[in-house]
Amino acid sequence: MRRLFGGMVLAAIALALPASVQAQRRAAAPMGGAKHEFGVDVSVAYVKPQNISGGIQILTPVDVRFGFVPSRGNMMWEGRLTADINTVGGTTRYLLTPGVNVLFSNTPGGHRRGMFFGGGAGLVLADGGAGSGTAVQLHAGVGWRKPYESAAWRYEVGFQWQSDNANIGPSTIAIGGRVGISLWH
Amino acid sequence: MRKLTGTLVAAVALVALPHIALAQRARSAAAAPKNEIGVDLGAAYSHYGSGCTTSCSGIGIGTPVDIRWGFMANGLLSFEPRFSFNYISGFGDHALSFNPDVNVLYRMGKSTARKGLYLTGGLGLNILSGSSGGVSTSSTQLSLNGGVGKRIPMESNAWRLEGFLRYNLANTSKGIPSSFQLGARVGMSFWR
Repeated sequence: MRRLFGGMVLAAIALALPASVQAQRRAAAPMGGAKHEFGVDVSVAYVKPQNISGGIQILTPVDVRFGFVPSRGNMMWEGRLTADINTVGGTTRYLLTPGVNVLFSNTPGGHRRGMFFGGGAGLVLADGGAGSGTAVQLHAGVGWRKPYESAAWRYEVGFQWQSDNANIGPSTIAIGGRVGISLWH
Repeated sequence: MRKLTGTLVAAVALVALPHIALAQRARSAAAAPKNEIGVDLGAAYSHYGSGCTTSCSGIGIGTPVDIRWGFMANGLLSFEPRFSFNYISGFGDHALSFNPDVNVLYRMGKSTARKGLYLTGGLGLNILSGSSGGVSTSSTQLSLNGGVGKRIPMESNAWRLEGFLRYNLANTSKGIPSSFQLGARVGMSFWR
């Protein structure tokens, strides 16, 4: 009988061990598991170039955003990029908009859920066929991540300013938001 | 003694239950992602056919090409909508570009939905609409595409490489010539 009890206790420990290890792993994963946050968005903004009447712009995909999730801390870096290079018709035209954002998580949910503040800068490198130019973009905003199964919806509202350039256009402000999905790996 | 034995058996069963449930959940979660989501960098050689009289070809490179949102299937075939959208208004005028597309993916050989070779084919629309000075124009162009691609697993995601040929039919009533594009798109796929 003693042997039977001993066997049952051992069986219970053997069964409990993987479950408790799994539970610990699940608790640790949101903080240290993912290395990158990747996402695409739809944006809606009121765009107002200087001395020109403003209008609404709706766009998807806005850009490719690729965030580097830190193992600790509430600050996270995020690269954003669009590229369009075209030589059709014999003239080279291009529009490149590389940018860097820094996000500050404002909740205990870290970089997976909850509110964050973001700000960043970018460049607009363009040649529409009549001449090349470079403009600077600055932007800031506030956003939220809402978990959705293994991904998260990400909402962001903010403000963007773009400097003027003779070959790109007048200085422009944009006020709006972007909604998209974030995926981690 | 019988009571003690019964209690021990119940305790073992209670300890075992969450473990078994967890194992089943993990298996079903790993085996059944619902969507494949990704964006790509695309590069293509384009050539304009009918109606083109000057320089009729060139190279285009861009990212993001579109958003692709695939629906996973148990069989060899799966569907993948792709789209891009751009609308801007101002001065009382507007410009719209909308490119919806539906592709079918067919897994080849021992490939799975997460790795290996696949064949794809689909059709799409290039819808343009604009107005300038109160004069509105709009056009729709039908396109067909086919290609072969490969998913290469990388941790929980996969790189996806695809070579394609796209043929855009002419819309003579709107003066849009036919054209074709031969190119490749490289991107990353995520599952959820």
